Parts: sequence; C-alpha cells; structure tokens
Amino acid sequence: MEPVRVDVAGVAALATELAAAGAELAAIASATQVVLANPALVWALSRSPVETARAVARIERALLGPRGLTGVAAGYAVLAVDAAGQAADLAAAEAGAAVLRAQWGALDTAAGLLLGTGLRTADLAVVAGGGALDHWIPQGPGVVRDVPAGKPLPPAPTLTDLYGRVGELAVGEVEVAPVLGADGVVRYVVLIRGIEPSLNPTLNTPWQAVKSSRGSADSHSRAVAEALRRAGVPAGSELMLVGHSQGGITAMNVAAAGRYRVTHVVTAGSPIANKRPAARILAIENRGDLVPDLDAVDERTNPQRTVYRFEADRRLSQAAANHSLDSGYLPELSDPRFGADPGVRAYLDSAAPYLLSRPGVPRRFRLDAGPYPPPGLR
Amino acid sequence: MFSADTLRHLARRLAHTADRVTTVTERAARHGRDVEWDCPRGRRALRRAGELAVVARADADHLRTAAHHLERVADDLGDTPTLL
Repeated sequence: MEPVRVDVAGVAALATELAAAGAELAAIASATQVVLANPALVWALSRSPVETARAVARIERALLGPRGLTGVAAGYAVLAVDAAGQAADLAAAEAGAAVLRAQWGALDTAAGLLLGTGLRTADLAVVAGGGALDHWIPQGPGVVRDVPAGKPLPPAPTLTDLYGRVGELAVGEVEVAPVLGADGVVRYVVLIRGIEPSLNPTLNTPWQAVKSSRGSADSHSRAVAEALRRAGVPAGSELMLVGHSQGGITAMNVAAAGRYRVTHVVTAGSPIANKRPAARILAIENRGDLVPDLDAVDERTNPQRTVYRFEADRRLSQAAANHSLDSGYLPELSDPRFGADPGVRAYLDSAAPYLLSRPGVPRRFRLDAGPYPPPGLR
Repeated sequence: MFSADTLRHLARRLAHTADRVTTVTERAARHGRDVEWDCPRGRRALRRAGELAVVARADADHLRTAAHHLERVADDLGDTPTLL
C-alpha cells in the first residue's frame, strides 16, 4: 500500500486558504456582473456597437459557464471542503480524538458562513440583481402538457402535506388542486417544484431560475400561468401558491401577474426579497441553505410578509442537503416549534380557507420552455 | 450623463479585478505547492487546484481584454460628455 505523507496542519491551513479564495472569487464575480449592468455600457453600445459588444462578450466569458469565475469559485469551495475533510479524518485517526474532528468541522462551518456572508453582502444580487445576465438567457414561450395526476390531497391539508406533494413532483411539473372551503367557495392550491441541479431539458434549470429571479417575463412563470388556464382555473379565482426554491420565485412572479387573485404564497429556500406581489407571503429559510441569500438581501418580517428562519448545520459540505426539500425543509415543517411560531400561526390562520378545506381531483402538468426563438422569429 | 471617462473608469475597474483574480489564485496555488499532501486524494486535489488557477488566469485575461476594448471605445468617443 502506498505510504501517505500528509502535513495535516498544512492541509487544514490550505483548506482555509482555498475557502477564502473561493469566497473572494465569488464576490469578484458578483461585483463584475454589476459592471455588465452599468448603463454606460448600454450607452456605449449605441455609439460603438462592435467594440462594446466585444467587451461585453469578454466579460461574459470571464464570468459565466463552468470555466467562468463563478464556476471557478465553486471549484475552490469544493476543494476546501475536501481538504478540510481529509485533514479532519487524518487528525482524528492520529489522535483518536473526536474533539479534533469537531475542530475541523468548525473549519467547514466557517467556510459555509463565509460564503453565506459573502452572498448577503454582494454589491448586487449574484442572481437576482445580475443586470444584463438575463438578457442572454433564451426564453421559449413556455408550453405545458398533461401528465397523470396524483391522488387528491388529504382533507384539511397541512403545509407538510403540501410540501410533501411538491417533493413528489417530477422535474418540470406543477400541480393544480381545487379545494372546497367551508364557505362553499372553490379556491386553488398550486404546487410548484424547484430547480434541478443539472442541465435537464425542462424549465427547472439554473439558467431559468436566474431568469425567473430577474423579472416575471420568463418561460417558467408563463408556463405556470398556461397550466392554470389549461386546468380551467377561472380568471379572478383565489389562489394559494406553494413553491420550493425556483418554484417559490416563480410563485411570486405568478402572484404579481394579476390574472388571478393570489392571496397567499409560501416559499421554501427561495431568494424572493426583491419581489413584492400583493399576496401574504410566508418565506421559510434554512440558515444553512445558501440559496435564499442569492438576492443579497437580509429579509425581515413585515405586516405582509412572514420570514421564518431556522437554525441548521451551517457546514459548507451540508449546503446542498440544507437546500433539499426532503432533508433541509420537510423535517422542520413537522417540528412542533414551526407550528408554535406566532408569525407562522398567524399566517396559517389567514390561510384557513385553503387549509381547512376539502381538496378535489388535482391536475398535473409538465412544463417545458418550448422552441426558441419562436417559429415566427426564425 | 456619460462620457469617455466613465468607460475608462469601468476599464480600470475591470483591469484591477483581473489583477485581483490573478493574485488570489496564484496565492492559493503557491500555498498548494508548499504543503505536503502526498497521497492520491491530495495529488488529485492539488492537480485540480492547478487546473482552476489556469482557468482563472484565462478569465483574468478575458477581463483585461474587455478593459482594452472599453478603452478603445472611450478613445473613439473622445471626451465630449453626452446626456443619455
């Protein structure tokens, strides 16, 4: 077996260095995106289009894609966790002491906090305020097709039931469930799933999430609106939208669109601070999840918006698990402290027409971007 | 109101950013070379760190080139401020 020669303390120090490099590059990337959004560039484009376009193209090559600075920053973060992990393993093995493992775990935690803080203090949002970024993301018209629906929601569904159903949706799916309230009025609960961390062919992609976070004229929001029409939801109906991650962002866009009377929106792990629809909002945020920080706003509760944050393992290596609906959010929703929170309780009371209801047969749709550019523009 | 000076300022900012990227990644790469991490996992990680440094250097070059383009635009436009 090959001998292992490792300076454990040196590798731990390198892990810190790599984490710091990753955080700094992430901050540099977000600050440089602000340059892309600078109105002087738009002005220059009208006067010297070719040369300015070359400059913009170079900046984008420097920032975007797996070989851009954002990808490089993520690469350093991964290496930092790997180095900290091996240092922890070796140190614990050498000393036989769990306390050392905890010490190295703290390094991982520090890296997570560092990155989270970096996102919150970015000049503008890494995603939400990315300025010119969204201009370059192709947008199809947004198309939907029926897929077999699940069984109706249980009577008087809880938030855990609703998010459990969101977790059952496949990539690109949305479910529209009619609910009959005690007052005899039919309302609708709309469940929207979140991003898939891969370049899948549906709308639940990182690029579409960037587009959704920037405005409301995006394919995902249009496709959800089309799904509502296809489900036969009459204009002006009262709606409650429930989304995870990108689904929460899109829910806010649909709420702002105005065709329906969206009275309630619940989001989990979504960067939505910059969106202001008229609905009552419950924003649920796991403190170990970096995604809600992507809008670079430390959001506060106000009369219209309840922000429920809960503590979690803030190690960088847990960031993905903290964003996951199954491991990062559903356990908290079933915890008694969630239901006991005064803000959450008040919100759930206000949502009683949807929750204290008898759900009907839901409709489920698969959303796709559709052809781009649209046939008429080719 | 924008002027050629506004673009020169953006160009300087991009060039400074490029230098910062180079400094950060070279420091990490130097640190990686100095540390003893001689096992398969370590060699793999250090090789990856080297690859990232190369990619980051290319990104920094893109930013410097962008800065040159903007300076050229500024030179073409001259110094007359323009109301948007």
